[in-house]
Amino acid sequence: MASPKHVPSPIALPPTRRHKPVPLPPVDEVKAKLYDHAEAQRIRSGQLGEWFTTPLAGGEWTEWGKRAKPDKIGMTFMAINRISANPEPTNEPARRLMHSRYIKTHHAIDPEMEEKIAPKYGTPREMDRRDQVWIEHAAELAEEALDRQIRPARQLHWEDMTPLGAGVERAFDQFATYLIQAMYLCSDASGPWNGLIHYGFAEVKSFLAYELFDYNLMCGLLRKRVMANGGGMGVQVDGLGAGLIDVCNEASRGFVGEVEREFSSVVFAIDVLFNGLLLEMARLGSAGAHSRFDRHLMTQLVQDCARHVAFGCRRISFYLRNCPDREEAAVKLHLVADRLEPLQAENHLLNPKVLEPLAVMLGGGAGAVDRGMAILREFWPQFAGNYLARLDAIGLARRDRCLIPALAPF
Amino acid sequence: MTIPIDKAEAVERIKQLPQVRRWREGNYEPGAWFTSKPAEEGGIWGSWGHRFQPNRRGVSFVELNRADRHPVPDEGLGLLPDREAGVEPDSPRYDYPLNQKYQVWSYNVESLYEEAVSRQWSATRDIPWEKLEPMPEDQERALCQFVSFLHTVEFVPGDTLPYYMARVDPSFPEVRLFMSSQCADEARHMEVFGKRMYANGGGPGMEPGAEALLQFDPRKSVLPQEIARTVSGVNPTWDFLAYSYFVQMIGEAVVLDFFRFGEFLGRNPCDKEMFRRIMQDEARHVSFGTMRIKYYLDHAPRQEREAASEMLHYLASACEASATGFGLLLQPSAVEPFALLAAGSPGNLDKGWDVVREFWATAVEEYINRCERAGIPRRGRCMLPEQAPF
Repeated sequence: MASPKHVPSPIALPPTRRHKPVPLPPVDEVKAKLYDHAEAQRIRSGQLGEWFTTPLAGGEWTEWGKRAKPDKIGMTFMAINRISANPEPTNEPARRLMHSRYIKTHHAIDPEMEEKIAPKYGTPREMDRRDQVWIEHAAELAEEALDRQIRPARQLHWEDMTPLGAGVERAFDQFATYLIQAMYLCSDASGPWNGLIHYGFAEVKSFLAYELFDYNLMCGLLRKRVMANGGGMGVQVDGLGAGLIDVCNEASRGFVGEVEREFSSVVFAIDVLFNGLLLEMARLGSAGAHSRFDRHLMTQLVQDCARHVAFGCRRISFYLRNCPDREEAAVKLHLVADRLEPLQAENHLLNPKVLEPLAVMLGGGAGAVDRGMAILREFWPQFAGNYLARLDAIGLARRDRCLIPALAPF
Repeated sequence: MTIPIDKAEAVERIKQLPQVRRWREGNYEPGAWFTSKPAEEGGIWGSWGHRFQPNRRGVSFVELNRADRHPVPDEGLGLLPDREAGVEPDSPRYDYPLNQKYQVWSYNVESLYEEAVSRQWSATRDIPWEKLEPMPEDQERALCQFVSFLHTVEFVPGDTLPYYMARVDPSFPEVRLFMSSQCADEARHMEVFGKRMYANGGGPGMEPGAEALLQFDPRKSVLPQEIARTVSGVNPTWDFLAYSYFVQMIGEAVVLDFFRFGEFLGRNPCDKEMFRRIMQDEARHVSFGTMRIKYYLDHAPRQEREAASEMLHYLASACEASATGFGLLLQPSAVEPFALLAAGSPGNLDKGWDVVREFWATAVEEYINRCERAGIPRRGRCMLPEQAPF
């Protein structure tokens, strides 16, 4: 048998390089120089720095005396934003890399030095505009992301995992293998973008970190489930990332170079469209689950996907309402959708390694797969229907051009 | 893959898909995924017959992997789902840049991941914010300056880890999973420090990096500028081993010592609990990095092991003598608040510096011990003075 073809890993990333050792000064010489470090000298002189000497009002220190009160949930972002002088990021370009919007930039650092210490590309200064990053109610969504994250030790009851018939077990395992693959794709495609978002957008960065963990946490749980109930990992779903991988790689330009990148395309592809489809699949998985445990797992996945979709919709909605040229932005997103919808319909929604296991689960076994297919046929309109309803809500109506079939093509 | 241009063409293409034609004819017989044997018997199905009796901890990767008759492979399989998945014979294999077990694995990654999952906490709910008590002005100022510094530092790993996750072959899911848990941890740390700034009347402190920048004099640089620049900040183009050393073994280790000291100096149950929880998280990250470097050096082919060891020693020397080692241990927004918090009042500052000197010696000693455990012995080579230079 010919050996399989090798291709690069799906998500394009910058190449890595190794530090090349070069001679360094001797240890003793270094230590002697370190002794003369400015901070060491200051400490020896018994002084404290400007952080201590600056006036609490009118100097480098800000907001002395403000005290946030926990709200009914706890000490939320909303509680601190209620009293903060900077409750939301502004459109002011970021002047530092590692810098929170809550902290004032130092007056003595001049623009020339600022340019040197804060290169734009490949850093969190790449995305420092509200229209590129922000969403309405970012604080609430970030809080929800952590609050609703599954706590397996507390919430999962492994004793509810019951042995299933071989056919149904195999179907569930195949479905779980597909979900694992799908969530790695989301994690790989969207994860690196967090490094390009400025620290001023703390709530969004938090949300994206939790979203990344959601994907992987669920992958871990699905793997455990698959490897514990008599079955095992199923078959890779070829073509699952059709369109998505190209859109994400084109948007990121491989995260290389001093070029503009298109975060909105990735959010649309991963959070709005793909997570939207996964959400419907998880609902079907929940309906077809044959044990309380499996149903619980799928219900959790529904919640996770719904949160990711909510982020995507709010992000695209904010983007369209606040970007410099709404019309151009909408055209770009429509083109992304034009590419993704047919490819995802063919390779994802109609993939036999996705639909057939669901049909077996929904029908109740391999002998009743026709019943499962009938349920899928009946459910089918919700794929496009729910997706289009979301797009209506965010101001990107596609009812006249959507390429996901409105009715089941089988 | 061609993209249909209009609705009619899209509909037509879908109608012509072999599976759709089959289904339209009423043939719902599941395909080879359902009928094939597992891969070890020559089929396309991944693996079969795995059974594990959950115990009171549920199902943990530590025990699950121990019970698995298939060991973690030395080389990734180049598939899109986890290891032990199956694949069609004509499907491509994906060349993930990090596809050797020795490049990614850590001795304790399974248990660390399980710990990470079970110890997730919430900055909103799990800190006893109501137990904060008003502190003397100078003490609150010191604490707020310290947490202002930590608030921004905590973003760094979460910005860079996802790049490495996407490079790891999915045959090693435990590694990807652990790194994702670290991203969540770091987000929570950033959040809790941001909240603490506003929680007790202090407010955000002065820009934490400003003093070091304003003090900086290239003529007094310990290392030649061209070297100092290459180790001044991590970015996703760094080799993964170097990344682990920089972020998880020296950077986070120093920060872990900061947290330990913060907990020790905490004046109320809220601050103590905040630092205690963060310390647990950070200790996991440091442990992963340390044991990962050790695994690498224990298992890489001889030539690579030697090259990696040489690179790590070089990087360690350079980092110790610059911002990540010495510079971090002398970060004005950390050590000065420490001294003031330890002193209890500005009038007692000398006493505070005595405590900070002890902190310095402990931090350096622990770092050297950790390097020893990782297989990069630094005793006698370490650029960090064993006693504080003040």
